[in-house]
Amino acid sequence: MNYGAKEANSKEAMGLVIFIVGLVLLAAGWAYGIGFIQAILVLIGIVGFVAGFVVLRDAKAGG
Amino acid sequence: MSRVYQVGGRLPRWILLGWVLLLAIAVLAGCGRSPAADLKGDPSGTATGLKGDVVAQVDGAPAYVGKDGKATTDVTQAAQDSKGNPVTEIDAAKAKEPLAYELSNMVGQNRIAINIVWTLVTGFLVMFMQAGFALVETGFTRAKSAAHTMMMNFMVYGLGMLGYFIAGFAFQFGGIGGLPTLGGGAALASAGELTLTIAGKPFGLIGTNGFFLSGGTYDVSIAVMFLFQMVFMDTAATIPTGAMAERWKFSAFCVFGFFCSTLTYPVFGNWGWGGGWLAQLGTNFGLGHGYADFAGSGVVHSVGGWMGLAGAIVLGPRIGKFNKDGSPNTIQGHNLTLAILGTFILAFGWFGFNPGSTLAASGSGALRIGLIAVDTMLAGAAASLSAMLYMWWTKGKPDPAMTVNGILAGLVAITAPSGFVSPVFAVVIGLIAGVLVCWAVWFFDNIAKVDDPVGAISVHGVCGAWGVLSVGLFADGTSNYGGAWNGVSGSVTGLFFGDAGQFVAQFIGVIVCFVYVFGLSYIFFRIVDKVIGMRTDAEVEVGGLDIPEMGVYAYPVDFPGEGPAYPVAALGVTPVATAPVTANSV
Repeated sequence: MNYGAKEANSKEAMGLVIFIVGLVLLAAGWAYGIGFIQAILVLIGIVGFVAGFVVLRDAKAGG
Repeated sequence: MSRVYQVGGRLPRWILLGWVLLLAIAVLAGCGRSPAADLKGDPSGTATGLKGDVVAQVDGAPAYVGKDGKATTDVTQAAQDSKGNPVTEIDAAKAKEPLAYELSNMVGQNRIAINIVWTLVTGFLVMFMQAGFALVETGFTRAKSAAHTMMMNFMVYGLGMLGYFIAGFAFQFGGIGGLPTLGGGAALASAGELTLTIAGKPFGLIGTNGFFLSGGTYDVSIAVMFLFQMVFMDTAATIPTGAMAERWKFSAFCVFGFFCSTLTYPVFGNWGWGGGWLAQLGTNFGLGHGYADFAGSGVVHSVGGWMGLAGAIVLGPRIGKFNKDGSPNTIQGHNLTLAILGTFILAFGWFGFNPGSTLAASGSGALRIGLIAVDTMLAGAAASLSAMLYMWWTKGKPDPAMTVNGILAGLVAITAPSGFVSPVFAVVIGLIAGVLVCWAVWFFDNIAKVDDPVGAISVHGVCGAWGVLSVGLFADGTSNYGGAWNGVSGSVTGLFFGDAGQFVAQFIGVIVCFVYVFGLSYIFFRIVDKVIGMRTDAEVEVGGLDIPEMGVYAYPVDFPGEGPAYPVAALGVTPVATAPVTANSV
């Protein structure tokens, strides 16, 4: 089925998934104390968070 | 970037899979290692609601065995067992009267069970308000974007809930210090509140226990609290969807759903309800009982309204809302029937919103739920009447849309004072709210030039602020929720009943709510606008958002009246064949 991709598109869904997972990793890293694993999680979470925005920006023009 | 993230390519799928695996590892690894892990929860429910919940409820009765062997009400004078716990009379009676001991355990659990069932059922009522919001907002907007408006109201539930589960609940209640009416909640210890100390006075900022409801917060009492508070958060989150309807990009809305539920709402919620610095205005500065907002005129409704205001300003008005000279046009909603049905659902759900905020139906003055329910009804009725009469008087017709907003304004306004005022003042609060919402709608249309399709900013933001202030005016000091509020003994009492400090605390709360929520939301929406884009294309907006954003129409393509106008053929969409609606088929 062609849903007509003038505005929303599947790339946005991908961006949202990366954004959400980044958010979860960031929260998980921050929530469970201080340690190496937590620091890594926070870092990956921040990267994911930003990457999600980047993909969403890329999807801005439709795809 | 578009070269990297090709939809349907192999690489993105692997990235996504790896990301999801990392997520699973993080959550699993974190379980049991939260700051609250040392404080055990009660996931089975067998240790929640026992004899202690009876002892604590018998006001003035000698609850403890003193060091001198005599009965005492003073826990500091009580003898201690081998673990250092105070010895209660029931403990002492265990050997001599085992039946009484077991009965006290059962009575304690029954009391807590009543409170838990009450809180759950009222939480379910509040959840149903999402349906009311969906119908009101969709009815007050145009048919060509109905699927989009409905979908925002539908998905804010899921997005918000998960955001609140991830971090929102922990930020809001992670340091509240226990849930006595629900029989537990020890893992939400007050030590979990991130506190700034200035001049020797503590200022609670955010909670830190309860992420993912894991560790010690894997607990029946905390789960009940989570459910009840989650639906409140969702109420706040769904308010901006009305103020920003018919032009908001869906992906930007999804990002907002998480931002609101993890940060904007919970932080102010902590300050007001989670033991934060607004709640501490009483203990720190002697301002009445601190910021008192019984069920959320400020914490829920004003927060939602000011988020909507920031969003509506960043989005700008819908095409056709304002003329070149700045004068506003009325853009008629497409279905008043939906709007009025939705309003009734909201009014019904409000019986969960306000009376449920006692978090109890047994003990601690919780039987005031009867008065709270009556106050809620009366304020709504009074506001619908005053709004209708005001519009009839000034415009010549009893405007149904404004009358609907009138009852909602009254319900919003009574939400904060419902636990503290008499029925007479509930009517006064409602009457004022009904007129206030009419003025506010006029103000945002004619002076501020903000396009709010459903009047959400006026109903929730403005009348929410009025509700918070009205606590500081009309609270009569007759309520007694465990003998104290926000750590200050006695009842919440307003200016007209002798406590000017309470009004000052309420006023500070209103100002802080606006500055924090509007400011943070405005910055957030500006960033999202810059990076992702907040608003749909003009062509999309004029044609309707349903096909471009959702891929479906809400109604049959050949629906009569002002229906979808998007050039379907140009998009290559194959609409679902439906029988034409004719006079004969209706």
